[in-house]
Amino acid sequence: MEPLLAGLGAFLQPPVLISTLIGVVAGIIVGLIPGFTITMGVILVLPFTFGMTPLQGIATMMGVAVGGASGGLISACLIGIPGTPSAVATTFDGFPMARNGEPGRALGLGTWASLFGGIIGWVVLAAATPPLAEFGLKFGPWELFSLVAFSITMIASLAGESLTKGLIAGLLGILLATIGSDPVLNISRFSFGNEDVESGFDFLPVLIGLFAFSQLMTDLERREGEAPRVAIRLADIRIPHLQVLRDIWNSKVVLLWSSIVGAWIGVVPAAGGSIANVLAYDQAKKVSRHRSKFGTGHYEGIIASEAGNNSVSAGDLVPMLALGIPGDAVTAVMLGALLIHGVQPGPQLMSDPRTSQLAWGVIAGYLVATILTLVIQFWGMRLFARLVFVPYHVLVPGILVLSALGALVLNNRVFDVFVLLGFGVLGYLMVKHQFPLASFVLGFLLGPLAEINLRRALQTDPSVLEFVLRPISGVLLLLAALSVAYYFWVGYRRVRAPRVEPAVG
Amino acid sequence: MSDRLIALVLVAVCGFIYWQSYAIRKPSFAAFEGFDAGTFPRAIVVVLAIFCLVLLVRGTGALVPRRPTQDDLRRWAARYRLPLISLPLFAAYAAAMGAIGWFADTAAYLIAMQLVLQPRGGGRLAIVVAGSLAFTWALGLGFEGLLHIVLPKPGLF
Repeated sequence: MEPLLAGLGAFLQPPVLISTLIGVVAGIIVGLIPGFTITMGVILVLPFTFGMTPLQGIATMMGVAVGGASGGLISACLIGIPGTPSAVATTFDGFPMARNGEPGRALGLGTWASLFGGIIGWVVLAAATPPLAEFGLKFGPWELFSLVAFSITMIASLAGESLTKGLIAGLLGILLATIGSDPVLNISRFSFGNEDVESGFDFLPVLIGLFAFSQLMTDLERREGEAPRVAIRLADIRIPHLQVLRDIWNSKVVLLWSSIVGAWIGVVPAAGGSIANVLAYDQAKKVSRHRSKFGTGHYEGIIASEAGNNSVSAGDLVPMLALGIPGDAVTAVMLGALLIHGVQPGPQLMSDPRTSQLAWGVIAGYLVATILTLVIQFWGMRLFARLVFVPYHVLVPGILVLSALGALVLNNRVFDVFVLLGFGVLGYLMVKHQFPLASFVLGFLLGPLAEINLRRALQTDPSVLEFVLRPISGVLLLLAALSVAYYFWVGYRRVRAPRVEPAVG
Repeated sequence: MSDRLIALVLVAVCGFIYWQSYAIRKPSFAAFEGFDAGTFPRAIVVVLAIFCLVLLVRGTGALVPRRPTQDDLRRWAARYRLPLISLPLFAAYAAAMGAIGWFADTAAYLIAMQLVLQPRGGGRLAIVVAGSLAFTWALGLGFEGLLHIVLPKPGLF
């Protein structure tokens, strides 16, 4: 309890609190604009955090993540288009409820459910992170290498439709991370004499290119050139708080179960909010007594989706803080930000006295950010709702300039803007051909970690068998192999399943 | 582009990187190490090539795509018109930054992009120009004045 209070004390310092507040506002805005993702928002605020302390920087990005997870519900309810992929299931009941003349109730339910889901997720975060980090301290180079292998196979099997494509994306990420200097002997690799390439590709321009740039190109292709049509009169938005809280009290089982499902999905590397909200919605349907009402504007549907997608962002932080493995793309950016700030994420983060306050500050700050989101969202609901209708031809150029600026200011060299462009094109092509970007990013981020630990392990003991014989490493490799085997088994069963011929006549 | 064609391209890339990995310098002080700077990329390339071959065998689509008709090309151009214009515009923006400086380059890029993206009859040029200049000025001032980050100055003049 003491470290948590110390972390809370560090987080409640005015500069950190103000940064979180700005992050939450930015997150809500990014979350509510259809086509923009939370990852994009976190990436775009990253350059603004360079001059901040590590805690202040992470607090800003966490604010974006928490605010964004909740902000997606505004467009989901008002125009029937989810602001982020993690609000897809909110449209199922949020939009019908708003169209039935209760937009305020839909928004209120979503916002309050976000708060309670976030709090339940936070309990999981605070309870699960310290023991997992302590367990992580037992890891040597063998275990760390196997953990990377496990994370990449997990993300490959969960993030996309094809495991083969997921693994190719992950391996391609690792391969591109080897360009530049060798992490052990500092020998130049694949730079072809180019001085800029010799220092390797920085994580930030790569991320901006992959997530922000490619997403904008995809949006342009979909010809979302105009603002969505107004489906609801903004003047009609009045939030009936008492009725909403009564609805939530009546759905406490749904709320609790959806939040637990969300937090659990967050803890599993790779499975993010886009999976959590749909799964939480599906689970809520199973435990609810009003199953048939789902999809018609039923309050439990909104509660389940929003509680699920908010608790997932707390769960995502667990593997990041405890093991240094990102739970999703957003935490991958945060991990990169910690590295830029000179903090090495990993199991030592919580035990090292120099960084433990930062780790506990992040845990305590998640709760603060969740509460701030509720306050800001209710306070500025009508203002935020107007932003849904800002035309794309104004937003897209601005975001592209911010992206370029983010890449530029990292090392103050134009080369990084070209790196952004190159990886943007690569990301766009990957999205077009269904190669999961999350696998690529995880590979790019964890590739050097895998190489360093593989070399350390082999220097200590040249026997490759050690990776299998050491219990934790062996179990992780076994889990990686099982996740691949399970994927192929499911594919095999699908092919073997008897086809049902459609009835004729 | 079909999955199988992508797999074939990736296999070729893997072959090139594998070959290049032997060109990586091996310093004498690291000679005792069995694991040199090229070993890890080589191992990754081999595993990657194996999965690419799996995709080549199991993937969908033809290796040689059919010849597109005039109609196909028209549809393709209509669908990708905006990304196809935006990509070279962004490349030009990045390339010109060192020469004309961040401020002029960004303002020009914002104006050009808005004119490309806005629907016909979407807005007045004066508003677009004023908005772009204001945004550029505010952003530049924020970074240079508040965050003390120096943005590229014109190199041509």
